[in-house]
Amino acid sequence: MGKYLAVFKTNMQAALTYRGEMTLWIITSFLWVAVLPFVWLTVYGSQESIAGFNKSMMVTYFMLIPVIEALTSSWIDFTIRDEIKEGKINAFLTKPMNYLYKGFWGENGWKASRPFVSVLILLALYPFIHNYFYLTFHIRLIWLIPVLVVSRILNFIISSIIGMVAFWTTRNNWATQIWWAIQTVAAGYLAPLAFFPSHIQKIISFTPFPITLQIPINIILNTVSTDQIVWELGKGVIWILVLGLLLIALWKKGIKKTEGIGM
Amino acid sequence: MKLLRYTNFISQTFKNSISEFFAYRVDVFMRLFMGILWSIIALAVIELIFYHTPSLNGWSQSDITLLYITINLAFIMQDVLTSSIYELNSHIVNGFFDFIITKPLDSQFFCMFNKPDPGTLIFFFSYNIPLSYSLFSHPSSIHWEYLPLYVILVLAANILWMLMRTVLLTLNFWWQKLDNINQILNSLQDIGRYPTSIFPKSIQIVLYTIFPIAFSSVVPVEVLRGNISWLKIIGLVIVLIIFATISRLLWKKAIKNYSSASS
Repeated sequence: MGKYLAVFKTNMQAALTYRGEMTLWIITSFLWVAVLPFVWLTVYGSQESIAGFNKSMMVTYFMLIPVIEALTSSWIDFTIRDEIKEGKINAFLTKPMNYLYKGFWGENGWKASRPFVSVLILLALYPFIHNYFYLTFHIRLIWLIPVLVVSRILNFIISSIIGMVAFWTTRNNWATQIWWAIQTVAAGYLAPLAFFPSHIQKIISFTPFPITLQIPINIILNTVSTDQIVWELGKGVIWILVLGLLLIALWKKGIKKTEGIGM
Repeated sequence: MKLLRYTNFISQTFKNSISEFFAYRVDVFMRLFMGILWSIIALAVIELIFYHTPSLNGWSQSDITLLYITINLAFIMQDVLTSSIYELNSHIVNGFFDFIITKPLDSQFFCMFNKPDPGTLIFFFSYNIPLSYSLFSHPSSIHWEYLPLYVILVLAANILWMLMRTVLLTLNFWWQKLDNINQILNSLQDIGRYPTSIFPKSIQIVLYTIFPIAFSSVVPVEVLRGNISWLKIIGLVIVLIIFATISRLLWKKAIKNYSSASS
């Protein structure tokens, strides 16, 4: 465990060294969702609420997206792809550590300071949006911890699977694009999933997407029951097991195939 | 003689890009697929919005579809002709820029046009065809007599985006670690997909001045809707001149301050 802690620390220090880059990423993640509250506020017009979300809840929903993203998202597919492409992955294979664990803890280190910066940006925005800010303190907030852990692991596994595609084709941008496109709709980046027609909601509920974004935000907004949280957590764990097995299989197959191009 | 050198350069880079394009034939299908995929996402967003409202501040579903198409068209020139400007940061960091400034061509011109990407046109077609189909399958109030003016404005918008991106990426000369600075404009592109009237007045001013995104989508679409505002069209010309001047002056200043990063 000590070696992964060292990887965590090194990456955290690197992230703090490049503070400008990190802050810019977070600002862009706010910019990316900034337009949608205005769109939805216009849609509300004189309506008080849509699908159980009043205007304040809806604006808060979008403001929380970058915060949850800073905690749980994963971009490890870019790193894995580059390391396979450039042959750097071979150097890691000879080291006494698991490549995927190293990736996981390295990325955690890289992300460790991001939530704080996201919250700082949120605080800076607060004077402008305080009329539309909806926060309540309730006992169910405790569920946020296991949900965020499951969400983080799930995102990492999925991103790693996408990265592994590079074992077979180094031009694998399409895999990332497909993932982004589906995630944009199914995770709730465009609107709370409750805004979708019921048959679409039903389809999305079988996917791993809701727990990656929607459920954590719903817990904060107190729009989800304890039973539902437990159900989503169980579903998340099953997805972790299924996708985790797929990841291990891909890794074993990929490693046999790699030729160390670029070394 | 000088002009001939530049035209030869452009024709040679195009030949190279087309050869590279055919070398990666799978990319053709992937770009086609991506275009269709993202157009489905765009249509899903529009459907979702209009599932809850008949109009967005007076803009119909077909008007918003037209905005989506227009903002996409405003990116053609920069993505097809000047996509190489995205590599400026790596040129500076890797020291390749040292070679660029010794070439008998203007360095800004070289960085913008040295690697066109004609394959992007496939994405543009496959993205816009489903959106156009949707546009014509809903009742719309397009004034076709203004189509020539719309085309001129979209061309101007293309130049504006090229200039905005060049200005932003030129900042890499001073802050090399901000290799994600480009993401800001990608995020701003989303704003151009919606009418400016949904934003508060202060943001509307920004969208016509500092980040003049409104000129690249809302203004051309308003023309097709029959609302010609000559004041806004003159505004577009002024903004173009200002950004062209800033882009050139900033580049010259950057070159003056440039000191090799690698050698």
